[in-house]
Amino acid sequence: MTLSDPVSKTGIETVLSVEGLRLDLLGSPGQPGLVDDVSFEVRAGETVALIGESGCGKSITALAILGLLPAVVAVSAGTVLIAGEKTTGAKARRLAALRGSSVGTVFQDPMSSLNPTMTIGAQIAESRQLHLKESRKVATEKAIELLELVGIPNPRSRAAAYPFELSGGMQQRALIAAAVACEPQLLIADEPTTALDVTVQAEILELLKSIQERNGMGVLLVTHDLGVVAGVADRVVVMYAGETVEQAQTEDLFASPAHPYTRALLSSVPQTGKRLKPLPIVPGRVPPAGAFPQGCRFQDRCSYMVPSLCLDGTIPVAQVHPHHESRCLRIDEVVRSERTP
Amino acid sequence: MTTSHSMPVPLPASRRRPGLRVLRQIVRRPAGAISLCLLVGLVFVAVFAPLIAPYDPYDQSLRDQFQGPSSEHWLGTDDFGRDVLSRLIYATRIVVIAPVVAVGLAVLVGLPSGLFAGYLRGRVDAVLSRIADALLSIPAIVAAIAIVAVLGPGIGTTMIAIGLVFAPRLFRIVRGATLSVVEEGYIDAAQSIGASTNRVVWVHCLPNVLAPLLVQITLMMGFALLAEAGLSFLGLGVQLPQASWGSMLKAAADQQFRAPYAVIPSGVCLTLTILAFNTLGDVVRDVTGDRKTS
Amino acid sequence: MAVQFGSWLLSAVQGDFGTSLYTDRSVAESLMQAAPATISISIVAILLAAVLGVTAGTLAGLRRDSWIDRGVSLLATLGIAMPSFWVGLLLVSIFSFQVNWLPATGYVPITEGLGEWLRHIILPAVALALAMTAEIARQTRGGVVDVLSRPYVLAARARGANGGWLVRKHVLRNSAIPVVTVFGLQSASLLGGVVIIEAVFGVSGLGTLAITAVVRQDYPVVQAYVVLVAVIVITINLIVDVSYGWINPKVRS
Repeated sequence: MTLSDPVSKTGIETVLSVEGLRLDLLGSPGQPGLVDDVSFEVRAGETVALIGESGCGKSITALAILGLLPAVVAVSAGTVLIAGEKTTGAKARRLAALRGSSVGTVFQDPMSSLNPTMTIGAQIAESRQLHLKESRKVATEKAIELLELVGIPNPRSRAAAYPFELSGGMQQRALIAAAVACEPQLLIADEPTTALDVTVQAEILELLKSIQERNGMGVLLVTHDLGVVAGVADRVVVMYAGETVEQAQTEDLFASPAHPYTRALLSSVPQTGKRLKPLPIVPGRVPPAGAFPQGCRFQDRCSYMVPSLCLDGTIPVAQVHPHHESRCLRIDEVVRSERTP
Repeated sequence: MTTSHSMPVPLPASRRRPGLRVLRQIVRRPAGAISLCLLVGLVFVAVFAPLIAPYDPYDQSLRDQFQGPSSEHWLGTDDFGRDVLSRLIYATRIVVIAPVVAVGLAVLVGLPSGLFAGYLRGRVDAVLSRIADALLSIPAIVAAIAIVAVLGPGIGTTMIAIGLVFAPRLFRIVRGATLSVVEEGYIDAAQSIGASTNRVVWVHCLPNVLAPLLVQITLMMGFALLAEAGLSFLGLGVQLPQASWGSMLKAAADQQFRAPYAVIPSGVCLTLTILAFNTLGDVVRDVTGDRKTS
Repeated sequence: MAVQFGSWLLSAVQGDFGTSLYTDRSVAESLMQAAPATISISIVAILLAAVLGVTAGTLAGLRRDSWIDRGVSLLATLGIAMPSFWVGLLLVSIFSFQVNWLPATGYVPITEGLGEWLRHIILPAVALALAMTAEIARQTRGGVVDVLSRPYVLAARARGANGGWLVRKHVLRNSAIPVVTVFGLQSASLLGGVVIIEAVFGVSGLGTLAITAVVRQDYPVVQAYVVLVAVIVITINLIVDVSYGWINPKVRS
């Protein structure tokens, strides 16, 4: 096992480290990667939001971290470290041993993420049976405790119920219980509230927060919902067309976005206390994978674009100031311009 | 209500001249082209059997019993010294006619009843569906045997029996497809402008059940051939001296201890033909995008 | 005629199927005598088909597009197209006449020794099972491929489930519903196929009894046979319906 120092200079453990990750569609040599040059970290006790429009590569990045890429996609460069252990290039068996024990996962649609023919209790007990080698009986008792922890009333009878007997919110609570059953250092939540009612969304986010405070896990929250980000994330990583384009502390990002895409994204969110006026929309669409342009991938939709600068080569990530970086050659102009374009 | 003058209700564009389009798409796929060739070839052999067959298939010669393959008799001779190849060639006539008659009868019974049951629903549907359910609780071969018991053995009655056995199966498919078509808006549109029941069923429902019907007909041809061969093997179908691949298998089986491999030619012919029907059925299903009749 | 049939059915329920027109024997007695051979061959064939079909289909579905998958699908296509009675004849050619390992004809009751019984039954059962095995393998493969693409399988893998655990706990049961449907349909059609297989292997079972009766126009026997088979098929359908509930908890409620 290759163990690098999991404790960074700040003294807080880094539970996830993604470095220069590139993903390619097999059988399409010479094309730009589905995901390219993605780097970020998640530390213990911290919530990092990975945001972007649908199709920007955030979910496939999450699958790559878990080692669950579809057969047609492969990691072609970069490394992923979970709790200090390198998982890119690791054996399938070793990856399976990490999933559920070091890293828990919650997916978007709770109904289809639960096995319809298995009781709720059995699905929560599953990872304890697999990783901690507990007997079914012991693991099921633990599952009942976990159901109580995630705020499900009558946990004993709910544990014996089948998924279709629970509401969507309860199903997602059960899945969260299953994800944290072995007290992982990292939780990946891929759009955990998107399929739920608005009233339930807040409850689920609240639950994730309270579990995090309890066991100090790091959370990677994959979402397209800026409202969710503002509420729970400590830091934000913005992705566009397979690249990370900006990352910063949440307040910093909302106050002074340093990438035109982030700016456009933020101005399309309605804000309370302001006069109603038509919301600006981001013109154009994310280019489909395989049709990414040379130079900056946001060039077609960018109002700061300068032909002599933005259309060639690869655009490097630059520091705006410490802990705030942006993949843009015109950061100064972007930061200096008015809040509303 | 009974007027046959109604506004033409436009059909979806894909329904125009569907036959040619489907055929073109079938031939474009290797599997479809090969099976279609094989089946068309069989029809050709059946039509020109007297010209192709090297010998008279009924010509007996007890001196030449059970000869192995030779330059004179490519596939050898049978228990009466008859040329096996010639008998196989003449038997293709049964192979071509039997499934067409049987499936034709099934369509004649199953298609109208299925269309009307699916369109009218209510009591008509309930009664017809009950009858179909009852008939379907008997395995095809067993039901066919029962019908042959009443009508008497022979290739004609066997084909009728197979046709009647397949009718409720076809009824179900057509009824189901009609039911789902009736849900769509344009049938209501045709009704609302006063088209008669007959017209709605034949002009508006029928074109929309053609795809699953075509798939089913193709697959049923294979089953009909298999059933004919089985019943002929049992001695209930084709009667001597006429030959079908099934009855030839029976003759070979009876003498198996003397010529163990005489069962091969007719069996291979049967398998290949059924394979062609099944493959063609799958291709037709893919081409017409019909997923319901799996 | 309806009244006639009604009164016949009433006595049939009480075990009285009337008397054969040809032999003067009680029809019920003839059926009882012929049944064991047919039942033995059918049950062994159904078991073979279920075990082999599910195993082959699962392996093919798990190793999609591998050589196993291609092999299984080729064999399944052939298995469906080859008439069972021809396969029976080929098996006899090989195992009875070529190497002389197994008897070509006849049936020995299980009371005269399990080994002899099995020796006589195995060839007809294999021939009979072929088509059903092929259909079950196809359906199982389709079911497994479908289930593997479901989000709950991804979720289970994200929990650390893999290999045999994943297949046992998450894949098999969820892919079972369409397989059970095909199992019911194929069991019924196997009961038809066994008639011809009996003729191939010279077994005097229910099918042979029925065919003889058809040729002799012995209606009481044919009638009793058809009703008996229908009752068996309806029973199989009932078992299939009950098993839906056992497999899928949602059906139960």
